[in-house]
Amino acid sequence: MAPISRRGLLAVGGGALGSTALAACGSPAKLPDSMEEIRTRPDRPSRGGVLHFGLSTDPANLDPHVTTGAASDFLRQLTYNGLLQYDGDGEITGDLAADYGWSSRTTYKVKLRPGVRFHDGSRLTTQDVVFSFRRMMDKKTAATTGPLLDQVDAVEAEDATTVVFRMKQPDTTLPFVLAGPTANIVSQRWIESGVDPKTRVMGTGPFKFIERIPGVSTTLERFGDYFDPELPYLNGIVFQPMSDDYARVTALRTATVDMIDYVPATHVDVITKNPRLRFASDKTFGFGFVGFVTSKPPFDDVRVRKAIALSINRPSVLETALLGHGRPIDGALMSDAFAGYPAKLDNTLGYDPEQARFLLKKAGREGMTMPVVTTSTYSVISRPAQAMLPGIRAAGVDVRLTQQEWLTFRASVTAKSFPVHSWGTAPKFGDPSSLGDFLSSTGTFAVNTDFKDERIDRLLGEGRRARSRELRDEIYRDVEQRALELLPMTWTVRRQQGEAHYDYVKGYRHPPKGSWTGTTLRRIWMEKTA
Amino acid sequence: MSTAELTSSQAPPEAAAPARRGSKYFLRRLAANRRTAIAGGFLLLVGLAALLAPLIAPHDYRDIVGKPLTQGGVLGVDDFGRDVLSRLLIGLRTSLAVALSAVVIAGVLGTALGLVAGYGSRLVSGVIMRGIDILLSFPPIVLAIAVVAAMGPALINVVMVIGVLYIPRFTRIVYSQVLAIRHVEYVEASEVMGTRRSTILLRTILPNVAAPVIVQLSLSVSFAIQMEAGLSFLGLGAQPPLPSLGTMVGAGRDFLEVQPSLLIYPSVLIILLVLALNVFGDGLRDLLDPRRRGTDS
Repeated sequence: MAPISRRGLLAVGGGALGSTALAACGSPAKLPDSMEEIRTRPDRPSRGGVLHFGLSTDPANLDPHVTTGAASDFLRQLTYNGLLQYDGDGEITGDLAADYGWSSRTTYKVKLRPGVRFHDGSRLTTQDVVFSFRRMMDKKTAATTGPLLDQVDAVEAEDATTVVFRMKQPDTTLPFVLAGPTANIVSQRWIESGVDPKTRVMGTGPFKFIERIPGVSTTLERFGDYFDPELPYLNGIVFQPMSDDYARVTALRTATVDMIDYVPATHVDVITKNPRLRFASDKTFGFGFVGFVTSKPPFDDVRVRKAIALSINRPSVLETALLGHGRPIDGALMSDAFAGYPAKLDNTLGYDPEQARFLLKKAGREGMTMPVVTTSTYSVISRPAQAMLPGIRAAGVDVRLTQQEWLTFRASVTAKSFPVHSWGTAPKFGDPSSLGDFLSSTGTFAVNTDFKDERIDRLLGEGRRARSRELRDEIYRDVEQRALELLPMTWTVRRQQGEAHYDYVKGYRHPPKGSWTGTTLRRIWMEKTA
Repeated sequence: MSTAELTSSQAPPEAAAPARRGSKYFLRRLAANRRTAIAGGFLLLVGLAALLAPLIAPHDYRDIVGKPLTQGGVLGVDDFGRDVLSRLLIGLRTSLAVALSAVVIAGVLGTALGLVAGYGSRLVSGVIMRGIDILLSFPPIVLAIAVVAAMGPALINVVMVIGVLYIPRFTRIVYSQVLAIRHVEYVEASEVMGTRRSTILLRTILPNVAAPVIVQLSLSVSFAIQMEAGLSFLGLGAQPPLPSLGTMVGAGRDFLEVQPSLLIYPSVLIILLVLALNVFGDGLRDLLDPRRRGTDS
């Protein structure tokens, strides 16, 4: 046998080291291999296994009360619980609450489940709940739910198991807010220990946080003391950030991951034609819109805003940008999944470039130039923005589109650096009162347009106080109609949004009725044969 | 000693000979090499197509002309329902414009720096060449991505970044050439005659270092096309709806299974362009290299 040369030894050693390093890079999760094993149970969901999930964003901020998008909300809802939650049918049900409801017009009571523990083993108390809501209502937290709790006067612990919300005035939206993905309950002791909740996680959810490697993975492990002894079925979940649409879909198709979120419209057909893949989606959630800065010319003139709204060829935008996977919105923003959907407003904004030209002429803005900003980060936003350009050009407007990275785009919109922005988002919860985000003078999105209308503010306030369904329907119909008259924003298309997974992933349901929730992930299992 | 008294051995070498012998002689020799001629013909064709793109494109590249992802028109319709041939022609125009502009910037600045470094004092030479070394120490595509991302995605930024990144290619070549000829007799003769240094640089030295610069220009255009395509593929170059070959590859990638032609057409065009530029550059080098004179067929 030939002697091993020093060079040969170095080559072999270097190769082995390199292979090991590569292998280490390819397996980000620290969960032991034994956890991948799935134990089948006759007539019951299988137990075990680790779900590998391709996530559209890398959740940098894990604060339980501050959302950074629907993708990161998945993680929050697996590691924390709220008092209420949306079930798979989009209906509100108890989460940490065993019992809940209005005890008077201005008092809402929640009775906690017994025996709930945090991941550190400590017991959940009513003081933790009170602390959590005070943290959400503290402006310093900048909690997503904070502004929605503006009608809460006080949150108090009535006894060891009951929490009381005392309202300034009646507010029918409170249960929707309590079921939101960022109305989570935290341990007072844990937060006050000085831990950074943006990077650490400790809740009562069915999964414990193990680690997050930025840009690589976030690993969750089954919590053995979860208050529902049946859940979770999985041993763990490994989220792998895959912001590139193509990479994410390819990872699913090559079985690198078991499930992905945000299936891009351009890949829906590829996914649905694959017999081993399932696509769970709906068309009531995400939508696109064009916002105008209404405080500056030329968009301080409603005729100009209406001209742009009429020059957007929504069916064409849907057909080209989303390849038909969605619905055009030419009337009310509220989803037609709601009983009170004002169908009579449909076709209010049909494509009419001639009328648009006429309005621009009347406003003295013929042939105007319109700078528009959008983001290049998400195709569900950038593609509709591109697809609306031919229609607007047909109305004689020289439209200049600028695409920016997501955070830069957000900053540009907030600073109102562009007179028009093309965005896509979703309502915070599945109730028409979430219109306030877009139309009230203090709404999260409305402030980017400098829009203020006293009548809409008054109607939105009345809507929150109204208890009669008929009255609420009437109020929100008026809000929608007023919005279509004043057009601080114009809605474009409602997109089909959903998640895709292999057929061996069972029990997942995409939430209907615009009630965004990731709680059905708590109840999924895998029936995978080795 | 006057210029007329210079002996043949002291006269400027043959690098400038083709120019003296006329463009007909130059073109005849270029055409004598079949590969170079084919590449040159292809580049001429492509250049004309790019130049006349707005006139010869069947549709406005922004217009929706059919149902998305169908086979209408000569090369089909893209995912937004726009004519692929029209977008390919405009995309070609964009990519070539960016690459040529960037290479002209790099060529002018790089050559100027190389001339000054090679003919200037040791201090000037050291400062310039160490600066060039620093620029060379960064991987070009990584630096380009970082700079364009920081400046914002825009074609002008891509032109500037590629232009600056390619300066060292020219500076180093010109610097080494100047060092080789700065002490030859015809340069020293000009100095002795009291000719101004700037005139010597531009009139005496520059023509004699021009040949490798011309070759480098043609080769750099091919690299610039690739870099522009890479940056546009990542969304940092041409902004929609304006196409470039890179953005068309990036957009076509999503429809690889549905309509692969959306990816294939711009990719093949990039490959052919780069190949042709490299072959043409090789031919130019052979033609302008006095040592290879007579060896080409």
